[in-house]
Amino acid sequence: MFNRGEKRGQVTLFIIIAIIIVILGVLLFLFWDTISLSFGFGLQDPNQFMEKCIKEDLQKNLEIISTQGGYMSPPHYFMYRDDMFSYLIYTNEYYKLGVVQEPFLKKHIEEELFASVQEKAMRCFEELKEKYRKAGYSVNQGDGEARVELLPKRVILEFNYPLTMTKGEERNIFGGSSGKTISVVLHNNIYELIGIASSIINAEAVYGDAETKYYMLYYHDLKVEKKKQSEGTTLYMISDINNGNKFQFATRSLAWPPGYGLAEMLANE
Amino acid sequence: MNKKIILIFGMFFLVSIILTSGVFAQSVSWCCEKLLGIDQSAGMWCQNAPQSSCSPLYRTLSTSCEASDYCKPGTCIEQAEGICTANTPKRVCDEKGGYWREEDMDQLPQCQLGCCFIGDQVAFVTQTRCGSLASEYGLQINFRADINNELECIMSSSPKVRGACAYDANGVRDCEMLTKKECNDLQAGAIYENVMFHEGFLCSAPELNTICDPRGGTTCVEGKDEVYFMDTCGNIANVYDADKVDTLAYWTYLTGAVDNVEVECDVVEGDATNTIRRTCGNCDYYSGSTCTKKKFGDDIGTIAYGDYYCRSLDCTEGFDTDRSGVIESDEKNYKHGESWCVISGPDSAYKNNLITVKNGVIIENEILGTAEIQSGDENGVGAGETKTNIREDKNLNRGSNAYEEWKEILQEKFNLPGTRHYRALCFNGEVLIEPCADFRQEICMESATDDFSNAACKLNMWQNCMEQTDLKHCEDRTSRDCVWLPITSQKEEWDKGDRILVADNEAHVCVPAFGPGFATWKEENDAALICARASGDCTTIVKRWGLEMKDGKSAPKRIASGEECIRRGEKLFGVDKGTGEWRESKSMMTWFLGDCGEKKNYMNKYGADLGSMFGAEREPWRSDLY
Repeated sequence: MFNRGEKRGQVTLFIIIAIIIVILGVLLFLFWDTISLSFGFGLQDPNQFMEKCIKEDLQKNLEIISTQGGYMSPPHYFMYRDDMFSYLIYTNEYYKLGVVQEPFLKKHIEEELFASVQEKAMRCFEELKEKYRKAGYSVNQGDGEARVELLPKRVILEFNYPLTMTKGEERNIFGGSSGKTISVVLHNNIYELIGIASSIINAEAVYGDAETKYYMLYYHDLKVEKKKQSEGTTLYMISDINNGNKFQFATRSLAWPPGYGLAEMLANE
Repeated sequence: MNKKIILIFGMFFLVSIILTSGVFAQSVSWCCEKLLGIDQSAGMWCQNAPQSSCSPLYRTLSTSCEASDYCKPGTCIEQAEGICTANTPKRVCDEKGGYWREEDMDQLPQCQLGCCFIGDQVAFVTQTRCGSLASEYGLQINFRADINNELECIMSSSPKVRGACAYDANGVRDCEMLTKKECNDLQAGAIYENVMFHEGFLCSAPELNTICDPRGGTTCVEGKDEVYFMDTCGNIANVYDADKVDTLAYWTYLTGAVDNVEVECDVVEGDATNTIRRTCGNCDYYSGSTCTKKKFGDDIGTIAYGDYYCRSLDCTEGFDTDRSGVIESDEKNYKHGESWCVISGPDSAYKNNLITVKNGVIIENEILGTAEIQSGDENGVGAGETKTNIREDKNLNRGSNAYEEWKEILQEKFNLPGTRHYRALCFNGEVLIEPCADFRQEICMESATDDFSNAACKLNMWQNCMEQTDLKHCEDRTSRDCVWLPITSQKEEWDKGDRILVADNEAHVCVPAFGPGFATWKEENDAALICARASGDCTTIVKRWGLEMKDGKSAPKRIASGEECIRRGEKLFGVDKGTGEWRESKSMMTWFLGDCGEKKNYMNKYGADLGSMFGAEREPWRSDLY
């Protein structure tokens, strides 16, 4: 039915179409962002975008900070089973109560966590604004701040900048007096764990020791472990038995020397 | 008084003086605002240390930190949040943006804790903190300063009254279990129509005519221990009771709302049978049970209704004391919340020799008796009394069986190098092990009420044992942890004109029940200093017979001099290392001095060095002396 010449022509046509499809595919792949934005596709809700951009880093750094007594890089710690337990209360002497090194643990951890993600968080925020600009929005930002806040059962990274994104009749306002903020929310109960840690620190500061049993009696989902080390350090490991969230730290308060303390006394003379 | 007793008491007195001076004389001359850390700014704040340990970037003072103005400890307050932290140096408080006060926390009104009611929940915090929390939740502040105890605060939380909030939505009569306020808010939201609140009713109540029907399964509820029924809309109903699955009233009213609707199955205890667990969801954390979903492998059998049951929180499977992955066998089951003492001891495997201590003494052997006697004690002692003659009744006199058993315990089981006390706790079905302070500076004390034991690590008060001179003061458990020990001593007697030494069975000395341990692996440690005090030489004079003139006739005369290390009548030759009372006396000293003496460690091994030993050397006869 088809003569040889026509068959060859068909094959050539198919090949050309295939090449065009491949080229289009490659172009789409390379320029998808621009194309999709031009058509209004892929413009995520700002919160979703920020979550996708920074949440993983926030989660990872929060875990590090929790495991290391509130520090990304502990300045002074006790190493136990490959974890660095920061000293939150410390004395280098025997027979003496320790002095508190971090009196406001919640505030410290908020600052530490924010500092650990600040650079990337601000980059993500700039990327968000850029996405909207590319989609044809006019983006205006006022003065404000970004910060991390620890709240009951959650951790929030909040960008409290007055931000207005306008395109035609459409207007999106965040921050300022709008009541809407761009934020990333982690479900983590470090707030509660820090509350327990602060109570333990106060007990260590006043009495040189803390009774762990009562925390587990009062708070059913809590596990509080205490490990006294030979040189006088005490390690505390507070964890939620349901979700595995934990907070660990070290103390050294009212330590006793081995034996009669004579060797230590002579060493100090 | 017998020479030996004088010597022993003198040694103890000297040691106690050293101890006392050791406690109070430990002081370092400089207050470092910051110690040197991994870099010049990284060390700890406000420590007393040698000047060379202070960071050059910060201040130093040639006095203790307590006397300095910048490192003096006090209370640090974060005024906005209402957080108070004790024993914080002024410098640290200023650095962190706090407000520093010299007074202790309990002297500052703004640091007093009370009960803060936030919605359904409570928090034991300061009043300022309560206000901060309330504003976070958008609620009114409700602070009770009269509740100054955390347990009382937790127990005083009372959930708000709930009921069925029925409304029309999408052409049907839907329902949710809400508080009255929440239901009113739903009405005010104007999303649903015909919103009505029915206090004390469940959504499955037939008269409400909602789409929610009974028997929608069971579930756990966050913040609660019990297993709850659900209706077909997923609303939480009453506590699960298999006998009430088909009881109309139980699906109509909330328990407590009407007289004849109550939770009738008893609270499920930790040791409840599986039959009870399968049919009753009345779990209680303090009784040892909590709600859980049945998983594959759970040994509960088929639950009468639903997939949830009351899991036991008791500890029944033994525990792994040294985290080796091997569970030591322990036949006793421990209740949730119970705690008890464990001491590491020797045997072929440390983990197989866990011995419990009650009331500060070893219960494995009743020799030491008890100084803490409960009322109604079978020995006829009133509450709080100490009956000292219990010990005497046990006849801990030297040579008695009781004494020999006690020696064996002290010498071969406890107070060995490496022995340590631990507190074990049972919580949530898991045994947690808490070591007491090392070197036996803390010991574990345990008491029991109705077979429920409570234990705690406490300071080992051995320091002034040696100063006590009678049984009553020695074994006063409120002041010290000591034992009134009969010691091997000798007294002089005359036998046929010769001075001889015989055993004195009446002498006693007050010694630590658990002597302190030494860090023998350190270059500078107390072992050499202290153990040397138990060292000594005992010169044994081999008896010789000479002749003397007595009543005009020559007669044999026994020549003896110095201390006798041998039993009367024995001779010391060859490889004999010394036997008898002198050696025993020296050994006994080492038991309570600390990690001294002829001992194996807690792993039943001898140390790397020779350590303590008894040896004998024979010297030529000194005829010039005798």
